[in-house]
Amino acid sequence: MTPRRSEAMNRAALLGVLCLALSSLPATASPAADDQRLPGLSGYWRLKDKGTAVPALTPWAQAEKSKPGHKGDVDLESDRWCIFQGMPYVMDSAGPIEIRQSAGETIILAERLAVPRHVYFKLAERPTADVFDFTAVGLSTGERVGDSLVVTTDLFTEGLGLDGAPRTEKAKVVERFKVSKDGKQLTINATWTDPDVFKTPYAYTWTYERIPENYTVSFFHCDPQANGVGNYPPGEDPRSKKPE
Amino acid sequence: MPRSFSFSAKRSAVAAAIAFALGLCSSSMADTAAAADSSTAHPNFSGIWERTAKPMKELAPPAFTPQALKALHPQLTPGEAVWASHGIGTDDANCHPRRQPWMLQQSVPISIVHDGDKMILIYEKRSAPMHVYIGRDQVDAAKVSPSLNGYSVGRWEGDELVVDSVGFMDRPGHGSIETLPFRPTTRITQRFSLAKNGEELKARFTISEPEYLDKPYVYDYTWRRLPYATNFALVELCDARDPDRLKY
Repeated sequence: MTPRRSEAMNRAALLGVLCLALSSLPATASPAADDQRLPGLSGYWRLKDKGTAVPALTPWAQAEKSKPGHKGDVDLESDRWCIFQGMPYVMDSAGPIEIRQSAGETIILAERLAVPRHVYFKLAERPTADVFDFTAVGLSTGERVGDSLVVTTDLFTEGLGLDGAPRTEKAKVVERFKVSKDGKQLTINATWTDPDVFKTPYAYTWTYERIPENYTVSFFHCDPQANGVGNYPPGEDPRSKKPE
Repeated sequence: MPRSFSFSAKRSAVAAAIAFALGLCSSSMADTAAAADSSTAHPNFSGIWERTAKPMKELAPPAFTPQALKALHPQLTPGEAVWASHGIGTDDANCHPRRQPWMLQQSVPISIVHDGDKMILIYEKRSAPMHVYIGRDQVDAAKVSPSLNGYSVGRWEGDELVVDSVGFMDRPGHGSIETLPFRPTTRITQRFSLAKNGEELKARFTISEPEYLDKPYVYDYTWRRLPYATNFALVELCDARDPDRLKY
């Protein structure tokens, strides 16, 4: 008996043919109409002004902030151990920053040891906490709104936040990136919410100035052992040797 | 009993199938369409890329010099030997960031953002980004401040982007080939191109190191595109303070 193809197989075959036909469209097709890239945003930027906004911290956040071990948003122990830090360090003390855009994402890098930020444009759905491992830079998605790129980020790990205040897993930030008409200035209007940290949403504006495109990114070399910490093979830690 | 469709029903079914197929294929198509940047005649390599099932094809095995064979099996201190017997290296113990070419060839996908004359390649776990300056002239390696991924410039040869890197810093850990240390004379060239209508990324790697290789080591490597609709970076924050890193 000749086996008959099932309806499901026929459907799969039809889908395969359609996908094949559609995927064979030339790669020179015009860019998608929903292109979220912001003209002028790509380049190197140096933080110039952090404004004067002051957050209204909760008592717990204020107490945490007053503890030693940090300088602004730099976690000093993490710095010595060369641990990559996240938000807001990436956009602040880790700079200058570099922003590059593709159709699928915008990436934000900092020269010091900071986790790269990926701002995704095409995620079919925002991953939930059970499938996304929280990170120091969270998960960012972006959308072009008029002359701005609006970036929404959450799913942060706990860590050091703005000006030494804590950052918790409840934190969320919405940033509005806008480039001046002459292309020389980038402003980011950010609003953080975190019920454990801020009594009210904390909004501020940071301004960056463009660095010429012939800039070369410096490699920041960090070695915990050179910083007087780090791990050594058993019996070979020079810090444990007694002076003769 | 065979089912029969009216003409309009069949038409509706076909239309639905096309719509369904469009939905399934659209995210991949959009990513592929972006493989050609309308602002330039050259291909665009942006995307999330995962190595294929058999990604590497050596044109010939590396021709190691005697010095290389010695460097591949360095004399370990007693403590290093203990660590090595448990699979621990100094680089892992201290969370040194990964670098090219090793970081580009792992099972975890890489992200590439190619934006005009700049291309950045990122390995998602504990990496130092690789910056490619397209259109810049290469400089004397001796005058470059050494870095993990070297100083990389790119030039177009037709639809191929030829990336040339010099000025590598030598650090413990993954080297240019296996654990071979980087030398000031190490040079890595990659010729990037797209295949299968933008669904595959290919690169021919050429590693030159006169002290360690009698002739350049050449191999091809292939990645497949992952759709942006369902993929995102999996960040690994390495913390050298974590005592589990040294447990055995």
